[in-house]
Amino acid sequence: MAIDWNIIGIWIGAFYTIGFFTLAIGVNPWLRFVESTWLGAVVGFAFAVGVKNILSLGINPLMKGDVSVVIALALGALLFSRFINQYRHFSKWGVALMVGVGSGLGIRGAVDGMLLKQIEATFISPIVIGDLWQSINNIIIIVMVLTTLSYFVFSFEFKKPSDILLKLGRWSMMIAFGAAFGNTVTFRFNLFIERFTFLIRTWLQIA
Amino acid sequence: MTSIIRDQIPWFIAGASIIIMFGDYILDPMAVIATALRNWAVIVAAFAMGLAMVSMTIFHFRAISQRQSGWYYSICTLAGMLAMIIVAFMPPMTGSAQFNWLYKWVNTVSGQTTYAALAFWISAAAYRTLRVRSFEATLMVVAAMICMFANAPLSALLGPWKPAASWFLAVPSTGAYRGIVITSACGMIALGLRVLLGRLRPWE
Amino acid sequence: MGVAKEQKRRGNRDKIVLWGVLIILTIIPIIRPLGLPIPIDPMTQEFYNIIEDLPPGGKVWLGNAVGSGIIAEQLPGILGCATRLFEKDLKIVIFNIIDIEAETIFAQRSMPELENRGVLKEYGKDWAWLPYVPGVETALAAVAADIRATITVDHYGTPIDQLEVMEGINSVNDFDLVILFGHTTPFFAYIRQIVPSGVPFITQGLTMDLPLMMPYYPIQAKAIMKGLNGAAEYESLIGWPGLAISASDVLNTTHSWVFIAVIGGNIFYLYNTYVRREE
Repeated sequence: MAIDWNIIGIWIGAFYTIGFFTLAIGVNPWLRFVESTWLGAVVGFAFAVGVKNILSLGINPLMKGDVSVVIALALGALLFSRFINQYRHFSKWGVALMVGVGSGLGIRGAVDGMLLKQIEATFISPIVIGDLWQSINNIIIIVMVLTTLSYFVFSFEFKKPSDILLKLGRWSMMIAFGAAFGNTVTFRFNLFIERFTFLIRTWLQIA
Repeated sequence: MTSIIRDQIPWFIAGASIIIMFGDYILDPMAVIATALRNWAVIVAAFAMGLAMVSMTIFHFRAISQRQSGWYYSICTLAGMLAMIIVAFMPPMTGSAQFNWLYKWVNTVSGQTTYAALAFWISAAAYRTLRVRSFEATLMVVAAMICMFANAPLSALLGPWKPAASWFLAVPSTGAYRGIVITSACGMIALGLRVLLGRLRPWE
Repeated sequence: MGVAKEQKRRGNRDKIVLWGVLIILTIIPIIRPLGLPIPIDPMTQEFYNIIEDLPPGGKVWLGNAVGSGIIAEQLPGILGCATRLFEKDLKIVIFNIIDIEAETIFAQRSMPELENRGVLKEYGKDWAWLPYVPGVETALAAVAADIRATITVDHYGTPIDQLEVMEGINSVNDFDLVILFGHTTPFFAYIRQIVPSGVPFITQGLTMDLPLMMPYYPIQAKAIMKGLNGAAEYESLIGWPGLAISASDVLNTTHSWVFIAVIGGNIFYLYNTYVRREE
């Protein structure tokens, strides 16, 4: 008799789905089992992808004559020296490379993409001739940006009457966090709905 | 000598990398070395994925050998890891039918459901937290309720929920988050400078 | 001690009612869909227009960062967008950077559906699929600056120099449009590493990430499609109804319930705080 692996897969999928949903009633052996096996599978997958990438990005270019990757392969291999007490400090070299490159890219990206462009977007044409509503909106944005920025100034104390800036900043952020919370509710429900759609239509085959 | 290996060399590597990455932005001749550094960092990141596996294996083996609380779940974790590694290495690597089956019905389902299960908690949080205790809380409740209900297609038939939510997102929320983005950009730059100057050593 | 116990008991009772009704209101519309119309948001229309305005032969960077946690929101969007891109006369290169699961999930979930829809064009000539590159933002910066220095083979193991579609494509500057599907981590990485190149950039954001993404609209992100709702609207614009449209009905019932619960909770709170205290 031929085994329908798709049906078995659907039942396993339902087992894991309901297992994770049992989180609602508290930690239980079903939840612990699905959690542990999933964690192992995730790490196993990451390991396999890591090996695949080492082969394609490091070993293959080396075989084709690109000798410079030896440095990267050596630094990568040295990461595992952290498990040998005597040599654990060599593992910091590879981490330092990743931190340095990441920080350097982050700094230049932050300056252009996050700082300058955001300041440009805030103060560009606050008054729009002929469009009162857009002008009001632009002014509200400018006020909210400035008051939110003032909220994060800790170098000196805001005394009355300038503490109105802090209040406005706090109000601005409460509105922003409220909007974020409302959207987060929708996002979680979207995922929830998809899982129930799987259980009802794919697993139980109702509707 | 140990101090040089442990402290100075990592700092030199990080500092030089930051300078080269930033220099590449403003000086064209730096492009060659910057490209090489980026690619080396990508290769080192690939090795880092193996670190998680080794760390986890050591941790769970210790839990099993010492019969720590919940040690049988450590067996489940290692079994899951081993099963995934075996199917992932079947040719073609991470492309075999066995790998696709296991990944689809365990990894993907679990990943989806972990995030989906939080819907219970977010609805409970909405019920308990969205209370009009003060003026500021009321602002938050109003913004949350408008933005949440506007995401239901039904809201388009019941009044100007969608235009109101669009306005909340486009104007007050954007204003506040823009301030937060500018602040975090300054923080990121400061963090990078601290790494460059050796005041912060994340590799410790 | 008695008061704390009573409060805990009341809290548990509230949770049971809240979650019980939530589950019932989720199941009913799945079994019996309501089929309400879906109004089109201006941002989704903008996303649609930007793709429609691409010239024939235009080159598109399709950034796939859809992991398992966000499949429900992003898969309908990337499916709809990929369908429309394939229907048009464009050159498409699919990049799988930032998320380790994206390539595998695209292979298992998106490719079979695109094959079913019959829209896939000739591989290598009209489109290419590049593999996952580890390193998050570092990898993205490396690929954006020089694709061939970081990626030498495609998803199938073919050297990318042998793919006709990759002729003349060396960096992000050779593309006419960059589209991203993912959450905030890839979004911010693209803002920092891709947008400064000047290539137009559009994206579908998660519903919960929209407030974080809006400050970047419209100067850096030319259009932001809003989560599953945006995907449902896009599906109706391109004429390929799918997963997003079917989820819309359930959003009505679940959101209405939470709305009523919060209003009810606040009424009880105000009653207990002001009316009962006076008594």
